[in-house]
Amino acid sequence: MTPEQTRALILGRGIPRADGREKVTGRARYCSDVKPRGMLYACVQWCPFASAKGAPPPSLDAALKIRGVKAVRWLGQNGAHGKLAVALAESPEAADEALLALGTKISGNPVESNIERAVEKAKAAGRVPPPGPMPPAFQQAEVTAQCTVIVNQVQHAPLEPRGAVVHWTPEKVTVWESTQGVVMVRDSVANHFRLDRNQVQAICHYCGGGFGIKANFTGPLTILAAELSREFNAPVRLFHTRHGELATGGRGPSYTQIFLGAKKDGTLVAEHRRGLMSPGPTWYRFGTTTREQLPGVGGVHVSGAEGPLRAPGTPETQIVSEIAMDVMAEKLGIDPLEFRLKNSDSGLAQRLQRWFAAGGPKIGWDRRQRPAGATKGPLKRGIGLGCGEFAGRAGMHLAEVEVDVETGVVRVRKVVAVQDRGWVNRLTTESQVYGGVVMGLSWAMFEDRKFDPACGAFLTNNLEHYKIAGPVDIPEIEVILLGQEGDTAGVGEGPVVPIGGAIANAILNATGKPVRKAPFTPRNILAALAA
Amino acid sequence: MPDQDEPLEPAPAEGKEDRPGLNLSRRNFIRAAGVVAASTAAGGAASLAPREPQVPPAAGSPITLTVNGTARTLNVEPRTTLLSALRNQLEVTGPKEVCERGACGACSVLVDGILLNSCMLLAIDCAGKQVTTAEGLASGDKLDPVQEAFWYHDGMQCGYCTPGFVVAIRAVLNKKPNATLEEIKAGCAGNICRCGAYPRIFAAALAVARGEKTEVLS
Repeated sequence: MTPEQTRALILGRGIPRADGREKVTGRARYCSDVKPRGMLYACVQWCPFASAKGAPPPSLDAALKIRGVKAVRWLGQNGAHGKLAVALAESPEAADEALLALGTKISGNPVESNIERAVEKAKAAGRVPPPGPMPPAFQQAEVTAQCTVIVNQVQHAPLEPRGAVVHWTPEKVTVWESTQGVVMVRDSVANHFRLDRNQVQAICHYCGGGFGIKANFTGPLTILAAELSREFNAPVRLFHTRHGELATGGRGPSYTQIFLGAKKDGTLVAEHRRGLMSPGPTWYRFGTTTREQLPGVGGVHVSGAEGPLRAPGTPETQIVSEIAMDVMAEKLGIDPLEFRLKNSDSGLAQRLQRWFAAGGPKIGWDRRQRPAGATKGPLKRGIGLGCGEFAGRAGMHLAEVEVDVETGVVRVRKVVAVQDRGWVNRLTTESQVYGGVVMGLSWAMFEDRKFDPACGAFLTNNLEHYKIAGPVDIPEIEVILLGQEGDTAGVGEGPVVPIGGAIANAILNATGKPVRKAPFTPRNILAALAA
Repeated sequence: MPDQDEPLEPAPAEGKEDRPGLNLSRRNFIRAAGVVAASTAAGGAASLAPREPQVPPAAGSPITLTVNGTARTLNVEPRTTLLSALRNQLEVTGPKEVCERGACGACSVLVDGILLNSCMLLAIDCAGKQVTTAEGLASGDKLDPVQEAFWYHDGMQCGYCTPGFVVAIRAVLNKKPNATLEEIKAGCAGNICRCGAYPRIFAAALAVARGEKTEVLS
């Protein structure tokens, strides 16, 4: 290509990614595809419970007799999805068979992972004090509004699980770990085994998704694989099963009662949040802002935080702000955009106007229901907007939904995503925004990690139970980048923030009732409609 | 599922756990790592159902698969899935192991032209059949139009689901060369992309269906 062609491509649609050929032909070698000569397969038996009673070490004899099995170790980690046992064999089938042959006997403890139920139980037990008087700033309010927003536990769920192939030789240790950072893998393996960093080589040519879960230190599976490789003098492959991948990581749930106080002209004077929530950002000008973490609600089981999740702490906080803003705007009879402009500092207001000028006509904002829930019949259409920012990457998303108020089924029909940044390569930058919208939509609509309260069994331990948005769930999505070429920042995290609020507010506009609980499944929507 | 509407001839029938003559339980083929939780009647606790090995490990039987046009002979145990045979024995690693139970489509292959999840098939049931993976769609450096369109339209991010999606879209377009957006979505409904490349994947598939030029300059 000539420089002119290159420039035209950059300023035009962009350039297809450099490794596209390897990816579309299946020839890209991910770490989970690596197979050094003589490689052995390790397989871990995971504790299937959030917490378990002590499991007696089983006899290893039957397992060790299976053809191709090199070793079986009882690890006995019976808490919080621990590793119960590991088997090492010449084939993955033999390693699995060895774990089956252990006949592990273990029982789980009751667990509370439902944050709403945990709050109710704490209230019933008298551990939560009754709400005190509202903060003094609410005395200035002429209109008050409140709502409760419960946000789900969601997972990273990269399709390539965490794990590694490790080859320990006297000269060096080679680690093919699926990671977002090979340097930290090299350093943490070297630190763990007290090796010189030059003795460890970490390789990851392709990473099959991470979203933060592969962004911290080297995984515990890598250390175990390295130990086995050293002991058995062979390369060892050890990756999470899907159960193991989904059992750890992700983000915890939140429960927020939010109270807003405003003047009749739409000026917010006070905001109070009460619940179990992450600190999160304050995006709009809420007036006097107060926070009250609920004491006495303990023991809500969440997974171990093994890595940050895309835009950590932000989507689950912003969605509460966005829902509360629309509940108050509806009560005041003010357009949601006008209400936000009135309660933003001048810099934000200018940005909101710029985003809306680009996105509002695309979604058909003037078709919004007035009043909310005005569509005749059971299939109700609604349009809403949500905003948000992560690390300077901000934008406004607008969504149109159709809600069947008889069945509670929500279909997102269209999303317009306006993001405030430019690009180096327009094609792949827009792909990142599409991806953020899809993941945020999937969190809002489908994903929900669950445990059996009676025994703590992890129920959503594979993809038929832990629902991720698939092809038929994807609406028309229009991406609008308002920056310019070269006006760049990492773009992947920002777009997961606004989408949840946009969908929630479109549902409010369609039905006249605020959503109370994510994900917006038929059950949760019917409960909100009945409230 | 819409992408699996062809007769699933080589696979065990849905819901039929025991296969006469083989004395095998399909569950034993699926790597559940040996633990299943079951609630007790009392409701306060549960225990894992201990399971004895039901499959005596065998030395394996020789079968011949035609993989991407080349006849390959290998020894497989009765429990070996087609996915495991491809990845671990033949080192054809385009099909990925993600869910191991037909819930994600990352292991999609064509078996005698039919789109199937290779994690749900026994290798031994595929003896004598033609297996095509993403690797086999290209001939040398010449990409299949579906692959070229995926590249041109950026129908991928991390790329882990891509070989499965490419095969699924190829199967849709084999059946309906001028497929509509809705037909394309239905045709790959069994595949999941966690990076959210769906809009790009649909654009790529539609470009092929409409005969649009999608050559990547290099």
